[in-house]
Amino acid sequence: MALHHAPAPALQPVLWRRPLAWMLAGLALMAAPTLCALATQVWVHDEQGHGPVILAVSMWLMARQWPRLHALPTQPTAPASIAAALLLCMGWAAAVVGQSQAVLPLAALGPMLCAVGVVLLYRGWPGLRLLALPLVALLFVVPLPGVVVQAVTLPLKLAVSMVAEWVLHLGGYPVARSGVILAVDQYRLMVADACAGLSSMFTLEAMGLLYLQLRGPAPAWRDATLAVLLVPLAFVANVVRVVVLVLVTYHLGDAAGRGFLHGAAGLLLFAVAMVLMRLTDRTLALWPRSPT
Amino acid sequence: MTADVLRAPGARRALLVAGALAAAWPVAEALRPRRRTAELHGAINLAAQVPAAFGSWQTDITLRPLLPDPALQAVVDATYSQVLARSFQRSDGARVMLSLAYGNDQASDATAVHRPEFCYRGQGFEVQDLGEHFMALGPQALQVRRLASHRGPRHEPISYWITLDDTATLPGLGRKWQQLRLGLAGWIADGMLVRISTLGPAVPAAFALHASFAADLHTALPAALRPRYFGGGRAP
Repeated sequence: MALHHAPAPALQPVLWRRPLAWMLAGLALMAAPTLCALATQVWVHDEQGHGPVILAVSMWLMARQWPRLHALPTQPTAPASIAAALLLCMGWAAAVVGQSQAVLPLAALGPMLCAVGVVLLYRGWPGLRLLALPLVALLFVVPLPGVVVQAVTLPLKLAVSMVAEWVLHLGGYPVARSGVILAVDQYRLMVADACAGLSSMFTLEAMGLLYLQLRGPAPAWRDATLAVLLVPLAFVANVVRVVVLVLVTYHLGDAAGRGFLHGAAGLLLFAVAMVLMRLTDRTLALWPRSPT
Repeated sequence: MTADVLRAPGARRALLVAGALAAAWPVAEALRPRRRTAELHGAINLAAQVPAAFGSWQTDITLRPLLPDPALQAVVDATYSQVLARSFQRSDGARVMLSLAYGNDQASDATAVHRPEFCYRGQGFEVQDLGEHFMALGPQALQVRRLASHRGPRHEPISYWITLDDTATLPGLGRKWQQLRLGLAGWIADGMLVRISTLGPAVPAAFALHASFAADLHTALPAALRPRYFGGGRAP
């Protein structure tokens, strides 16, 4: 595949001489302290652990689009430049206020808005359309306010506990549930926020996006359906994780249960989710195509 | 920087943008608040400043206010400078639980962790929001949030408020905005969360007891300390 470069000056500029590289470097400097703050304050908690994954997936998707982005005509239109200037100003203010006042969501939003501005400056509206998905995904790197997380996590925890209890009853296990606490034998296990999986839901959606990119083109309705189905799939994966934890604790004891929790539980969650996602995708692929 | 590189399309603009982006960090550092209101208004010492006995109230060691579970306590210890949990009994037998959490630095969003809604729910309580009401403290009207909590047979009505420097607020956008204004003016505001609760049904009489306890404590504190615990100081 031949890369078509836009008309360039006589000398082929090295990477560090490219204007885009300077803007990206500036963006990196702006985002660096916020990334450190996120890493030490937000991403260490299980309930907000989806940040780095989504960031990585988003950057990877953008890097993948680089050849096509670079091939677009260079000059952004006047409205695009104005929009870019507005976004850069708003983003800069958000970053400065957010960083100086330690308001993390604002500090995270700043570099994001500036990134959109930079894309607009570089390749205008077509460029923005190309990178729309990874840029929107970046929104999920912004830490959610505690009240929102609490409001959504509580019913989720309850639902996961209820379904897990039902499944265990099907298997004939003597499980009693009180709120989000599952009691089996002499063990009492509390379905914690991390097990409710709000964060893992975001992570799984990001992995789903990755999967869609890697799998190749498919009708839009299939991709959209899969993206939506990922939410209940994530729920199912979380239920499986809780059920397995209870079984491990019941059969192998408390220490084994804790070991599982800190080690294999997360891997199990993603393995189950990936398998379910692949199965769902293959099932959707069997759907008879409407004649066009 | 060679001239031909600068002649590349959009190069000068890119340089300007890059410079502005890179400047965000140093500017944010310069704007970071450094002065502490705690140093301006004097140190808070919860254990020493909250009297053990005042008016018709005595400390009651048989009743212990609800404390956060150990995992949450670790977070609280990290974010709060001082915590005090004390129960009082009035001469007529009425008992009240008082819980205070003071933070020297409220600039980071630490209060969310200690709010009764989360603290109690995290320990299996069901918490119902009964809205915002006013407590009369002499000439001052203190705005508090009322909650009705219960876990099994234990019913516990709660009234609470938060101070920011020497004003009283409730959690929400208004408080965040106040904090932001103080911060942009260069101040790190201190503040505390004051929680009053009793055991029993969440009836008006219970909340009236909270109010009467608050009023008595307000009177018992020296005038200089009252705004730090109850607000009512000049608006920031």
